[in-house]
Amino acid sequence: MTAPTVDRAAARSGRWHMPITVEQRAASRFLQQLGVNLVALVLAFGLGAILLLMAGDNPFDVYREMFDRAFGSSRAFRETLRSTTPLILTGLAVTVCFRMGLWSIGAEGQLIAGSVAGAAAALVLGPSLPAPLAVAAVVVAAALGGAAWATLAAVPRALFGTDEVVTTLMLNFIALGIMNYLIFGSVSYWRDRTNLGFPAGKVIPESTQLDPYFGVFDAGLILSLALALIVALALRRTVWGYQLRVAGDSRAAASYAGISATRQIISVFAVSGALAGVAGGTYVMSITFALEPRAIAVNLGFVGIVVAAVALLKPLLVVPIAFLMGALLSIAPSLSIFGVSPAVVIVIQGIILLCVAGAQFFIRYRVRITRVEVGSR
Amino acid sequence: MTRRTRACLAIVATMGLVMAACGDDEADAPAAPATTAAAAPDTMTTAAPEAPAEVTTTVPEAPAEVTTTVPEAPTEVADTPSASDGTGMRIAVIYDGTLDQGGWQGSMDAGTQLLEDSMPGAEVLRVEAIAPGQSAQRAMTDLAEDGYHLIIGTATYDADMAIVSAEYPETAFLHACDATVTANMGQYCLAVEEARYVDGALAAALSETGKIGYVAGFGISFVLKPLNLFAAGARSVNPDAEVHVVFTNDWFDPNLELQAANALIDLGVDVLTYDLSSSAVPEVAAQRGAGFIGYGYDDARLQAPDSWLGGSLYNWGAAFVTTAQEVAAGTWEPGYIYGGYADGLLGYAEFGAAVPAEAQDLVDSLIADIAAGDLDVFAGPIVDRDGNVVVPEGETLEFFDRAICCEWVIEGVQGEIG
Repeated sequence: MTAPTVDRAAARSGRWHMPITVEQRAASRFLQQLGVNLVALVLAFGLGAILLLMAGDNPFDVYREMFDRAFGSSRAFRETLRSTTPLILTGLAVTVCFRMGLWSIGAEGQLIAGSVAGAAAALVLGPSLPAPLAVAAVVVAAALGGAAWATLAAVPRALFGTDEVVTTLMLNFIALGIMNYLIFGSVSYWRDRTNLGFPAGKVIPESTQLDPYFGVFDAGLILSLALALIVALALRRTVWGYQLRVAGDSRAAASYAGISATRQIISVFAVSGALAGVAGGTYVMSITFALEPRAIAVNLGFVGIVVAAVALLKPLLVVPIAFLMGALLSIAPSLSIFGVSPAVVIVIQGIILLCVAGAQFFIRYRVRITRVEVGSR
Repeated sequence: MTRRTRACLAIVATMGLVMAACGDDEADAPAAPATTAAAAPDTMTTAAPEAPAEVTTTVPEAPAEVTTTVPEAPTEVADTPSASDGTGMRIAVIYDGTLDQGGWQGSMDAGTQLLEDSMPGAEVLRVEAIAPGQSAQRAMTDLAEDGYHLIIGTATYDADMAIVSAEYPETAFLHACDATVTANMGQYCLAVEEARYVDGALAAALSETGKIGYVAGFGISFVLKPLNLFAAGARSVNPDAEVHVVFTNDWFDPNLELQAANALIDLGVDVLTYDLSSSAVPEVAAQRGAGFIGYGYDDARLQAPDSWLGGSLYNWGAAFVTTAQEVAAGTWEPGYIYGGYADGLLGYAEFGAAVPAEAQDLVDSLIADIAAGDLDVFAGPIVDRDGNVVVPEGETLEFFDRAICCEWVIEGVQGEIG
């Protein structure tokens, strides 16, 4: 890109032109969006290839390995799907809040709260209930846990206008601290007292451990797909969703229309928290099988923000984006085994995410290079 | 204009979030200073004590050999009749952090190095930066599918390894210092009580104020055992010695460690030690003119050479090589490898320049006595700081109780546990 030429005459007269203008696209077509995303992906893999070459790896081999490890076998596919489930749910949680213009970044903490509540339900009710009921109990408990945690930020936001970015961020650390305390800092109900080694959580009963169907996907994925559909319908077809969208477009218009901001904010936060909480509950049931702080606090809530943003805050689009993101995240250990340095793996993941996230800008805005004519106007 | 600004803001915000999301793995465990990177593996191997094959024997070493810093392990292994050079064998070692972090990772990697040297025919793969949970399960599953014969975990992967090992009964799994032992999964651990007893004795011998500072992570039995035995060792030399402990409630928080170490020196402590791996505590010791005693690895010997006094060394390699040999020979029976100076699983670092000969002799003789079985660091009476007798006179802790020790805190330890 050429450096902007300063139009001296225009500058003197108080007017000068940037050679680049950014304007909003009236409406972008689906094919256009797809095209921009494809270009972004090609660019990302191209940049990644340069990086790999610099690190002494063969990019083609690495990319083939990435593909194989993400989709190449039913086992690989299962790993990708295991990563997809929590990302769909945290992506939905973020989508719901962001659609109303509530910038909650608390999905991480709500996921942790859901894990704690879900694990408790599994340990208390699991032994006495039949499997389907026990699983349902865990899901409900996890949803309530996540919703309760989100409410802690929602109430001050609704009543006093406290900035939710700050409160939700801080609550993430508090949730993590509590989870660490339950396992590392105390002999709590969650902690396995019979474990002689490093402090660990009690393993949840068999009835609450999700087995994969056909060895590929488990009930958690089905639940997350159903929730994506429900959220999409709720946003489009219910009064609650309509009010949410109105408030998201214009707070003033919403209050003028008689929509209670207080109730709306708290209910949106609660739903968002419940979704993130369910992510925690299903994560415990299908991956960690216990409250394991170091295995649970792996940024699934934060990645959910990226998923929601790339999915343009559309609930149904969250599903494929979460799937791709899940594939990208779950193959990192495999690449380390393949011999790619872990630092390079992180940078490649970062480049792909940045390019795809950056592409969303070009979907919404048109960038034009305008000719600057010296002395014109 | 506002629209453009907003668009820019949106993109910056998105990028920030992306960075936050993917960069956090690194933030959890920042790399140690460059000096650590270069220094750790070398210095660890030079101190690697005895031939790995001797781990299985219970016959103690001659005292002089126990403290020797001359590496002689690889050649001796080749001489052992049952030893294999590992041809055709595939071994993977999984690390939580990256190898340039030194500390725990560095000591484990010294073990991997010994494994490579001892079994030159084996393919040894290091897998770095694997977090517990889904990543660890994924890594272990891939390795088992790829046909690795022995998978060694160097961090807290116990639950994950238990899950994966059950699905791959033909693969041998070995895990550091935890609970699960199954038909194809074993544990390896060090008698840290022996290491810390000797360290505590050295600290008390060199402290003029009789106050020793101890910076540790969490107040869990895992950490209280070495703390207790450090204090016991210190009080065996100076019955009035006080060990002041501060917990950071993290495994890696250099800033908090820095504050803790400074607070301890303000308290009158003149020798510092830690149960962590960042360079913060030794650096504070160097700045404030206090002595420093390492634990498990001797990175600090190069980070703060003027403060360095000494410290016990982990020799994980002994456990790696023994297990790999047995797996290769088909004789491996998973169990709980647990040993100290007598088994070659512990060594001792080079002393600092300031350590007088008597103190060096004290350390050597303590190690000799422990290795010979003449000194049992858990021999009663041991009284906790509330006055309860936890090990009565004439008794000791048996293997099981040693492994899970301790929920109590010994006399002489000052500071809040938590």
